[in-house]
Amino acid sequence: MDSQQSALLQRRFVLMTGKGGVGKTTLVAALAVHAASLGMRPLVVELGHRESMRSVFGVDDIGFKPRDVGLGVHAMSVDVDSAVLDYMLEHIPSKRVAKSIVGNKVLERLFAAMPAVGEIATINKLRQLEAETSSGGQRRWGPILVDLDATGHALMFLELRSVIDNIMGAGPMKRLVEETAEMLADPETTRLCLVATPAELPVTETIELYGKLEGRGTVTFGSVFANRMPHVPLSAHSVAALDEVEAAAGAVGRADVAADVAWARVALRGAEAARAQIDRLRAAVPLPIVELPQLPAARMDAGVLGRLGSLAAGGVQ
Amino acid sequence: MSSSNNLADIVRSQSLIVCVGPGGVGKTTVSAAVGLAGARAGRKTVVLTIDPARRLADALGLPGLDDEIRQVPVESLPARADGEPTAPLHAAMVDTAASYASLIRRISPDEATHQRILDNRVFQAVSRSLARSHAYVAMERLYDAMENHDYDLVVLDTPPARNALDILDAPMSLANFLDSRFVEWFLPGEGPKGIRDRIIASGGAVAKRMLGLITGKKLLDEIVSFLEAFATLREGFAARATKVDTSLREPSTSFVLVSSANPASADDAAWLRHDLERRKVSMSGVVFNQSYLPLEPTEPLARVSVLRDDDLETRASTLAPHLPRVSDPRAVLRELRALRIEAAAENARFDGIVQGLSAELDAASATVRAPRFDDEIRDLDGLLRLVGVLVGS
Repeated sequence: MDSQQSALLQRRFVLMTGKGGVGKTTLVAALAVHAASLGMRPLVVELGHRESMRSVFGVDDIGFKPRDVGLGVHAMSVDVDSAVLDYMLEHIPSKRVAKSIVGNKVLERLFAAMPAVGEIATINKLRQLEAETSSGGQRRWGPILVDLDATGHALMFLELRSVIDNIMGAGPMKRLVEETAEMLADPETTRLCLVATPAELPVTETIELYGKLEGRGTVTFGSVFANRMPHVPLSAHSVAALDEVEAAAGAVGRADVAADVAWARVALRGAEAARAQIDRLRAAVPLPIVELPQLPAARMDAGVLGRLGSLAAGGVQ
Repeated sequence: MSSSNNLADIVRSQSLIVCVGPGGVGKTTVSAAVGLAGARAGRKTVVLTIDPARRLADALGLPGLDDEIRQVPVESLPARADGEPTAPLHAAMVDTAASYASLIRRISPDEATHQRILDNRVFQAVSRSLARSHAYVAMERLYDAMENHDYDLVVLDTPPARNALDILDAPMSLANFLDSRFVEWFLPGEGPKGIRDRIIASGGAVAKRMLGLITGKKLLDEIVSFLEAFATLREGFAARATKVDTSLREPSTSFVLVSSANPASADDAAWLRHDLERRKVSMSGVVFNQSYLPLEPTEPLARVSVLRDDDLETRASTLAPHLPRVSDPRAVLRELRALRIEAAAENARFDGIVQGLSAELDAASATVRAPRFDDEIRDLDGLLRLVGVLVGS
């Protein structure tokens, strides 16, 4: 295995965040497919129940237990309710009491409403997964790719230690949060990747998130992915000829050719605007930026996912 | 009735429009356009948005837009074709922490209770970080807009996807929570009286011990005092929650689903619609934003999904004499056409995705497709362009 190429995938945890709709889920899936093709045992974890991961792999359901979703990838979704129940079962000394509490709607509500409990239960689950071993004694999963959903979610997650510091005294929860915070902060163990598309809002949100996390020591960044970079397949010769072709189309009354030119200009302007956004990102965020191409608006087959993953992993130093 | 008239009808007749949809599809911009459409239809309108999008503030001509409701300077817009004035349009960008604090202030019976809650660290953590507080706050702002102002139309933009459902669940789940046995567990009043109270109290003691084991005593104490303070707000809260819950399901309320024509967004949108239906809420309309590339410069709303290049030789021979400085006119013309053919093929893929989602929808719901505009919407005139697409001009 090329060590440089798989540096990112060698971490125990690869966390992925970015504004809604920038393609995090697809990218997580692509990296997982690529990891599997390298002989690794990737586990995709989506936080909250979402439809997108299910449809990327074309499976009917992704639940709280890891399942084989094909292409050598396992996936699961960690929803807060299941994670909280799981946590209680694990931490309450008497199984009998635990079970009665688990079945208790009132307590369920309490946990749903309490601050940070959902996040704590979620990190508890992530730690369990990290520690899982197969019968041969080796680690069952690697890497664990976490689709963190929106950037606010990522912040909450990474700042959990400071959120609970004020309100929580010594106890198993506090210990768990402390230990997990260290695991997330360890650059050998965890990397946080940011995804943006080359548009104003996603780039601004990425810059802001970087500003909030940079230098805090809560996590080490991996790559920044500039997803869906437009490519306009026009030769320089054609670009240079646009004005003339437009004039000629007008002279001979070919509206279709005029439309071709108009569209080429729109596409070129779009590519230029995208480039300007990524330049803005590059200027504000001193991390390796991996550009990934705009792909056709269609479901991706295994081949495309694998190539996208390879491209994404290959760009990581 | 054409489908775009349906959305126009919704804007003209409904008193609450809730825009839901996955992230990144331009939902906030569509919400603002729906609000502007309402004002253009002569209805006094307010748009409440949850997404702190600077660009929306700019698009509304309100660079200082924040938690406070402000008037949008619609007078700068061109007059309507029929000469009728545009009704007042207001907007606010809801700030969770600020709104949550004002909610507590409004429903606190007295200043002492108010202060006790504000000083409680659990409350502070809740208002800072509780994911669901977005939904509570949206609910509160909605209540205020509907109760305390004389708007003809309220447009509510929601947080992305799943959290949109919290808006529906939040009012009652919090009301139920505060009303539940649980509060009695922790706050048994003056001490157990009957058998029932004693059982509850002993259940509470066990639960408290268990929670203490998990969370540590400090957090537990804070939670109890948070609940003590919050319990006094129960009634006020329950009344508001019930009112909002009822309004969300009234016939004068419409939910509009906003999606793009990207496969992942469409999947999320389909899932969202299912979940709304399970909650007995049906979609009145769907806006497919950025769902086609406009390929006819003279007809920006035309959808071109098939394009061929079958007369390259004729084209080249007709145009070549007018292209003296172009060394290979044929290659240039072929490349340019190929680029637009690929864009048309992308439109065909968009069509497939839109049809896939539309097939699942109620036939009566309005479906509108908006093109991907050349540039992002940055001002009221740009927003008006989108209004034209959504409801006709």
